[in-house]
Amino acid sequence: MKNITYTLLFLLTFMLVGCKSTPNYLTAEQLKSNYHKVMVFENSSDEIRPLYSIISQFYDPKFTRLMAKHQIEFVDSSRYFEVYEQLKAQEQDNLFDPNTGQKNSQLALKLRLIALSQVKEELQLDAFVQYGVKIRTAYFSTSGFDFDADWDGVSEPYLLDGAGAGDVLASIFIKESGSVAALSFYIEFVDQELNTLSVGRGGIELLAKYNGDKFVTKKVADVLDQAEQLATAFELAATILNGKSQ
Amino acid sequence: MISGYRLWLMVIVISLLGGCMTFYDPRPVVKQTNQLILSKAAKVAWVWHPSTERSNAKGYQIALANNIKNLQLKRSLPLVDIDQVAMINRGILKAMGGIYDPKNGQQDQLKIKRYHQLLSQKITQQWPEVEYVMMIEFVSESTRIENGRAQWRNTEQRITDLDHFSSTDNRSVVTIEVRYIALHSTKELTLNQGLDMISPPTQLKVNRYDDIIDYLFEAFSINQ
Repeated sequence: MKNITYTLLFLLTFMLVGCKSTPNYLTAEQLKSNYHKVMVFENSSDEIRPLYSIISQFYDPKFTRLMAKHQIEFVDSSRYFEVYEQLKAQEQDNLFDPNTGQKNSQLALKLRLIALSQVKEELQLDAFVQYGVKIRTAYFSTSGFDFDADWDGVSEPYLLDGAGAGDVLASIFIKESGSVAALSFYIEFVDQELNTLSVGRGGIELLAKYNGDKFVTKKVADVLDQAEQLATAFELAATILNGKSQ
Repeated sequence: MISGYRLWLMVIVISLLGGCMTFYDPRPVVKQTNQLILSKAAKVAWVWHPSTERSNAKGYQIALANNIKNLQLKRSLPLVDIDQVAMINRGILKAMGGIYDPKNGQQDQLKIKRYHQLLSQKITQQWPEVEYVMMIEFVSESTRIENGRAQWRNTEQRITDLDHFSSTDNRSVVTIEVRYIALHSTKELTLNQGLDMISPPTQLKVNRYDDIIDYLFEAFSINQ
């Protein structure tokens, strides 16, 4: 009886602490052999949307070449938005609560899923692909002498030039780990119910660095000006189709 | 000697606490100067804007209401009963069928005008001593946490992470927008003051927003 109680407590502990299982994503080979025609959406973080033209100008040609290389036909998302707007028009009196102005999110999601399902059938699509630039979190450790932050397949020093190990050890880093905001490019395959089939990400650059006193932030527009990092991020995200060995 | 059972309970509690963050109470950075004159015996009506009934705002509404009632017990704010005002407000909105367009979620300007008229009339009927209506609305925005501190809309709030130092991060925060609507004069005011960077559970401690509420009442100068 005592052993059973301990076993239950052991299981409960792990459940409460929150063990995460690794998502079971499709491999590059599985994607290429089963998904031949997709609809594409550009979908970046809200803060980055005003810079859409910069992202589009750099990444669209690369994305087109990647899809051609793997013989995946793609269509733009204009038909989806036509269908979605038609569905919204049919439900126009139920889209927002007249008392509070709150959006009816359940209805919006339902219409979105119907539109995805409808265009999938109409255009004979196999899946949907979204890509863009997102703000992510890079992690670092302050133990030892590794002063790199790691995220989405890349590492970058989180110290600004001039800040040394002494600054780190003598200042705020009484904790053993930390995080800093960073930018990444991503490509994600989803099905018509918005379940992720597979996702590839590549880090672009950190959005802040420590100067010995505090973290100094960078403008997103300045980070998106770094062609070499943007290209590296694309190659990392493209392993979703290219595979990791290339 | 700790028994095995108690040891496991301790492991669970420590594991849960290990990932917890501490958010300090938000506080205004700069005090404001009195901008509106209130007669000595005058009162103010605190009115929740209809948007504060949205699911993502309701928690702040409840937390602020509890906080105001608690503060009222400690020192006298020039307020009429906020529960009674809320009941009158709900009655008006129900009779009007809401003030938002269900097609796009935008406020119907004609309905808004009518709503303000009815609200002013009802409040004046019930409490002739009320000189100002404070119309409370919540606005979501994004701010950056740097070195464990967020500062936005004249509010500062610190955050600590017990097992992890977060340096910079973007975070969604809530700002309180207050429109001071004059019932007997033309002098009006709108203030935007940062409120909180967490979604409050309804059981938040009841003095969390004391400094913010005090700040909102600093807008008034009592005419002696």
